[in-house]
Amino acid sequence: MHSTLHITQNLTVKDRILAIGTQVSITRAIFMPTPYRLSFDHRFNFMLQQIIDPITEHLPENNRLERIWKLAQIDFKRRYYNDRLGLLWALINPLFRITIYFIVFSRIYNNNTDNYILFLFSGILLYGVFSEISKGGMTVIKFKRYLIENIQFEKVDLFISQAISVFLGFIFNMIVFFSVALAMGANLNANVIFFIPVLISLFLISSSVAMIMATIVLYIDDIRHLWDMIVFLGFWSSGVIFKVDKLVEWIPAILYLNPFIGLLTNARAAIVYGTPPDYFMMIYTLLFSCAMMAFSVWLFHRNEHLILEKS
Amino acid sequence: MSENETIIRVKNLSKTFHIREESVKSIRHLILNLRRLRSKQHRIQALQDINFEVKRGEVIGIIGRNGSGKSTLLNLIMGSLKPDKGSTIETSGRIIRMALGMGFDPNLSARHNIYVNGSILGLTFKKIGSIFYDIIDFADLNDFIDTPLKFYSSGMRSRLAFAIAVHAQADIFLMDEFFGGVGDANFQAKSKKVFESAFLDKRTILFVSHGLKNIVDFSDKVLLIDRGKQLAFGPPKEVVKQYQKLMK
Repeated sequence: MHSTLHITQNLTVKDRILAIGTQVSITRAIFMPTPYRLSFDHRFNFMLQQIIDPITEHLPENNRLERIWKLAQIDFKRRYYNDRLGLLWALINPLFRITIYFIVFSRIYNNNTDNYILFLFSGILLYGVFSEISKGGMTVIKFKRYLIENIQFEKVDLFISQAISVFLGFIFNMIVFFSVALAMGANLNANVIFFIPVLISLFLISSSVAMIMATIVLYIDDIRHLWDMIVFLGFWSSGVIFKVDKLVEWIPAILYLNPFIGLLTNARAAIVYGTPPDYFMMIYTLLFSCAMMAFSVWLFHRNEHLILEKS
Repeated sequence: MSENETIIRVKNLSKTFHIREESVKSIRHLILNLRRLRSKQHRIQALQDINFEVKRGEVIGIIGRNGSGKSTLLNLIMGSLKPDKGSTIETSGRIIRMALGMGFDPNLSARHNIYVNGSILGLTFKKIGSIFYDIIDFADLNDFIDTPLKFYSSGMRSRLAFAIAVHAQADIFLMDEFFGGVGDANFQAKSKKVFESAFLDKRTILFVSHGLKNIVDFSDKVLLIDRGKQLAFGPPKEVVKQYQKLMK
């Protein structure tokens, strides 16, 4: 451990990048065993940069976008790097939960949903993104206080970059998802492109809930319990692990009150069943999420001066 | 961008903090005490009727005893606190506040901290990349670029803060006990030179300091605050005399 520290410190940055570029494949870089963890940081950065640099080269230089991206990157690192298994945790948790739900709902209760394991997998991954981003909203102010105290900038960026960092982890989950889907013979076709509006809505809804949470935290400290309840309610009313047909028959209005019903239905149409989406619900969910975003930005701006005063 | 443009205008500025005696903010507390909440509030008048104007390029020193409201004033000017009704604060341009260990995340390396801070201070990555080694060289941290800041000594941290600050792009600088030099004698001499020649030139600075020598040497005007009230705003030597009287 100490020797690694020494070596990486004595190398110049250029040497290090050259060494990384020639020796390490992407898979090895991700699943690097523990003794190499110190250099993992640089390997992963380098890997990300190889993917991102060609894209950003063609974009105009924009200070704000760069900043959001940088904050997302370091947030992503903070989330996974200090753990022994690093990114693997992003996979282990959902896989574990899927196994449990799968056993309960296919072996213990009879369940005749088509392709149930993918149905479940997609639901849990998408809902997991929401719960992680909205949970982060309660702490992002605390973690980034060092910036808020000293520099004037648009604080909404903090929430957006936090959401992007969760999406970065989500990309790895989706790679696993698509591998499983292909192996299990899911019907993947051109309808996959309708997954994009789903992701946009998911991003907007999650970051606006994060902002609303951050605002409430300014007034009430123990909002965590309320958040637990909201996430629990959402989990059981959005059809993460079962079809919502009966629920919607019983309370028709819930289709419009809970954007996740439409979101998950369309997500599954796109990436599990390969059928065209429910266009009405797609547009409704997009509009709903934009409205939510506008509301939460307004709410947050109205209260942001309380950050230093109350926390 | 004329020379004599007023960049900060503070008028009738007051700030009252409402502090609840029981500071527990829980849902249970909220429901049980919904009615009594207002009456239980404790009011602290942190600042009262502050008036001054700053022109572009001026250096303003702020002095006062501990707890007199100097830092609150900086926070109000930065916009992170909201003043009481009837107060006006007009500022133009980007403001940054510098204190020892300013916007640093202790878990990140100097590299990341430079990028994050630089970016928030309005520099593009290209620009940061071009001055990156200038900052590192200036702060003398060549061997510790990728070491997390939590392993830095406080001297190293303040050197880094100072080095970034020198390169920052902002219209107004608020400095909380940050003025002049930081670090050991060697670095202090170096930073003082840069500070006097490059940094002070045409920048608008408000600084809080207990070092009266710095106040007299560098500021164009001095603001004296005591217990939230403005006692004087004028030429450094006179105001410092008044402050010394106050301290006796």
